[in-house]
Amino acid sequence: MPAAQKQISRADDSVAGSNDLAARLATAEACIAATEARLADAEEVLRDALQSSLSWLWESNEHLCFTRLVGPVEQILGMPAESVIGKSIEEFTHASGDPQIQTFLATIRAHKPYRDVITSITARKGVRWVKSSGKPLFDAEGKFLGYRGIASDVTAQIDTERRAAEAHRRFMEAIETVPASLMLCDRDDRIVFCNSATQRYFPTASHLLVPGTKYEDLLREHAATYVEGTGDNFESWIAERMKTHRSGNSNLIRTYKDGRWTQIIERRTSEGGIIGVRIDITELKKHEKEHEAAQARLKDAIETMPASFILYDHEEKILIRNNQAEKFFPEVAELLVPGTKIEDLSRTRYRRLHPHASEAEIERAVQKRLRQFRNPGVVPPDQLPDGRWTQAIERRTADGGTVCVRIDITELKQREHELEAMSETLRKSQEHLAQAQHTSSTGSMERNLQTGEVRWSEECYRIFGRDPNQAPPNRDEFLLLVHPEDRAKYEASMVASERGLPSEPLKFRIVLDDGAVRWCHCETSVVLDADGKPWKRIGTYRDITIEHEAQEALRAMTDKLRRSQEYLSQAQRLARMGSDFRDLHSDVAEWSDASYEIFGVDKATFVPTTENFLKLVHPEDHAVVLRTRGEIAQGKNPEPFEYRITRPDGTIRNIARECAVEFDDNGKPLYMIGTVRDVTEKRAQERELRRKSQEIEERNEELQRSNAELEQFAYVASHDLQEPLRMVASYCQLLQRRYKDKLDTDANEFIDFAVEGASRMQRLINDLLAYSRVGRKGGDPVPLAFGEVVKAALDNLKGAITESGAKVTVGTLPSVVGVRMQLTQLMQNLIGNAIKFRRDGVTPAISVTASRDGAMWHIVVEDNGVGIEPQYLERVFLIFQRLHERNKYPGTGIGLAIAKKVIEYHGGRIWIESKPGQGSRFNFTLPAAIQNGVSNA
Amino acid sequence: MPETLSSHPIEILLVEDNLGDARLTQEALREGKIRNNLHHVRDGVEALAFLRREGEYAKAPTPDLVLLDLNLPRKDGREVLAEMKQDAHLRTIPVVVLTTSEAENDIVRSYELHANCYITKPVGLEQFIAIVREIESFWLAVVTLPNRNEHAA
Repeated sequence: MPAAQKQISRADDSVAGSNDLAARLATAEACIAATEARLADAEEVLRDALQSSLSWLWESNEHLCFTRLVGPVEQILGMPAESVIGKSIEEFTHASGDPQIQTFLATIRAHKPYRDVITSITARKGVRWVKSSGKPLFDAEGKFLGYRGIASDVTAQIDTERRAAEAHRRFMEAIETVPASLMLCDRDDRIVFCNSATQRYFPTASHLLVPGTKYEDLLREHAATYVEGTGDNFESWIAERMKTHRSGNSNLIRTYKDGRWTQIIERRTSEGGIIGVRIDITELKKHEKEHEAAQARLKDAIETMPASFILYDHEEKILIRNNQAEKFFPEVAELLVPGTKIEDLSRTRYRRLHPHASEAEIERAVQKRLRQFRNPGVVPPDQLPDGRWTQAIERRTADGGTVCVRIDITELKQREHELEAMSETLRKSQEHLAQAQHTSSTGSMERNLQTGEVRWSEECYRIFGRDPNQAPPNRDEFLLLVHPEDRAKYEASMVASERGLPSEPLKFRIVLDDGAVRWCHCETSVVLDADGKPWKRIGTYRDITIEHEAQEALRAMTDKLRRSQEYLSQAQRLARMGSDFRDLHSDVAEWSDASYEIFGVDKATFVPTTENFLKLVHPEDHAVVLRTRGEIAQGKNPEPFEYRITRPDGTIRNIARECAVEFDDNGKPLYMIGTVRDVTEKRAQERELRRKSQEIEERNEELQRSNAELEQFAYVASHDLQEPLRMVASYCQLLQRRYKDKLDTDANEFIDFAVEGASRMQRLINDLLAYSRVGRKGGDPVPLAFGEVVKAALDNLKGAITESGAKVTVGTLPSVVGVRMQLTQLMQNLIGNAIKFRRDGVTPAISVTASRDGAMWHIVVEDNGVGIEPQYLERVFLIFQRLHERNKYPGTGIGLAIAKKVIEYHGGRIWIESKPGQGSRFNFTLPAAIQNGVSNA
Repeated sequence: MPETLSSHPIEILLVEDNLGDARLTQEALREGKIRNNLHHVRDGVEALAFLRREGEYAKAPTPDLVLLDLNLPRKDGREVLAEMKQDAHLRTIPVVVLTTSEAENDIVRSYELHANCYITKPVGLEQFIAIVREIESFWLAVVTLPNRNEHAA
């Protein structure tokens, strides 16, 4: 038996430390014992075999074939010895890769002697282990003759050895696998053996962990790693430790500097050595500490509870209680100690609280308490003698004890009353809410995401047009109510809730059973349960159909408004007109785009505050603008006004401003809406126009003045000249009358010339007077029949017409607007002229015709008279212009001048067409009269 | 022509600033058939002094007819006419307005002031003489005038 096995088996006796290790050691020991027993058996078998000739003798020839076998071959090999003769040794040897067998075969082939070689042979009973020894035989010449040897069947022995070796291997493996250190020292305290785990326990002295090291040397090297110092007295500590070591009965706990804990157990072996087991108990220690801390925390927790805590053991005796317990049960404070039975506690307390109670009553109360205690649960609230209300909760513990916690519920009781009152309020509130929901068309809903249960408020049913007596629709049923186009959107919101995510408020359509579409607004949130899982989706539905329609209408209006604003903006730009709005309180103003353009400022940078605006106003016009501001402050709406601005580029523009101010009830201005128009060009044009019209007016005045002066002159001349002329003419005539026959011929002729000159001058003056009076006599122009005018003129000319035999043709004549007297004069002059300037020997033929020319009548007086040379056509209208000898055609030459003046006074035109020697056409126009709204024709 | 009238010369007051016209009137009356005494004054102030026999005119006769020009220096014919017609002694004397004015205004105004007739002086001598003779014949022969003899007596 190997020495190590024996040592371990001895050590096994003395190891009694770690249970695990001990068990393993025991197993190993048992195994070894069995092996020993079998070994003994094998020795017995060997002895028996020897005795029963289980060994045999053999011989072979030079070819290594068996020639002779002596012994119980058949018994061993299961085949008769005769059948073996002639067979080769090699043939018998078990063909395996075993190097031992190869060596053996090489040996016999080399004809060398061998001893106690164990080989396996293939026998009829299977593989057998054979131990054989052989000696080669040579003849005298040294020629190999064969072998002679002895062999024995050692199969049983080999099997035993193999099993023991296997057991040892397993044992060693087991020792190696344990985390504990195993160290065996001999009686001289030298290391015999230690497993590899030992190195972890002697980190600083692992080089000494070899057989033969003295334990004391190892200890000296290793001691530094202990936490508890060896102190100054190292030697005595070593001595003490060695003494403990040798006692073979130590159980030590060591703390190392790296924070680890080790338990050391040492036992004496039967052989006087020491086996030491070291176990790392750091984890254990840690758990121990944690346990202690937990215990302490629990105790603290129990103490800090505002409740009474009493733990009874399975025998109903107090095990632990906190200090609060005394406050709940002051009358039995001295009994609140470990060991007091609940029954005694209860009885004593009842008795003390009810001094007059009968024993029977006390007993009933105690039994009642015990029944409660033995069926732990929630004990009904009860009132303490000091009036406080308490409530007890009792629970059975795992080890059959009972925990009894009693809390002060006085406040809770009060709250309960308050809650009752509140719940009444709440109930009313809910009624109000339902009412409010109905009024606001808001319904509320709740869906349990875990059970799928849905709850709807009354209003929900109304919104969705559902029967309130039926269950609300579940998730998928609800989706069918949603308008197909909005379904995906709504489902997304549902899915968000189901994942515990918030979802945005949603606007969606629903389709009622009757096909009506309604708009709904929905706000939802999700409630998580205690585990953080989505629990409930709660939300509100609001019927916003009306709101939505209103919004749509509003949007349409807004669009329209926006377009209008665009048009307005465009129109303003075209009209060079801007508009603005100013909040007079905050001085915040909005300008239209055109306003910015008019003021020549950039909308992006210019802020239209009053201050900035005033910077643009021409300095001379500040007063105008500020006066308006003053008027507004006094509650007046300012009149339109104008001012100038200086644009940032330096140009000066004229601005026309109109604004309206809105005042509040106190006359305080609120805001101002106004327009600005760039009237620079307009004003410039107006100025130019005004200048021109003033010029024209001045000229007109001048003209009128000169006309008036001229007329005045003509009148004065004709009137005042008449007086002296009358004297001249009168006295010349008087001379002629008185002295005609008393003077000589020359004197008479002279007097004739004087009288003639005076008379002509009188006619000229009279004509001039008549001319100057045109336009001053005869009243205002009125509609009149031109035919009557012609008739009157012809009456006045009756004498001349008769005398000349003139033929006057008058066509259909219209009504014109004119002054009858003047027009009569006109026609008299024209027709008279036609008669006067007739050709000799030609009967005058005169026609008067009319034709329409727009708003005027074109009247022609045509004759067959002498006509007028073209160069004189204009001159004939000049005053006192005569084309002919006075003797032939008498007259002053005023006739056509008066005619022209009359026509011009009537706003018409007069001109002559004439062919000398053939006749003349006098053309003139007069305004047509309008009768009954229609021009006469 | 009545004998009684012809036996007494008729007294005529001519109020005329234009000596030419005055002479023409005088000449025209001289060619007439009725005996008359023509008294000539040249302005309105003198005319009224004559009528009221004031100053140098204290012994002036009361005229049977007044020939009155309108445009006179100092006091014009219209004022003279107005004062005469307000004077109870003078208002019965016929007044013939003899003027060069053809103005409508003057004509109307004169009649309003109770002129007995209004005559525009004609331009020609022949017409002037004819008119003066017409005045003479109408006012001094045809018309019966109030008796002025109390002054003469």
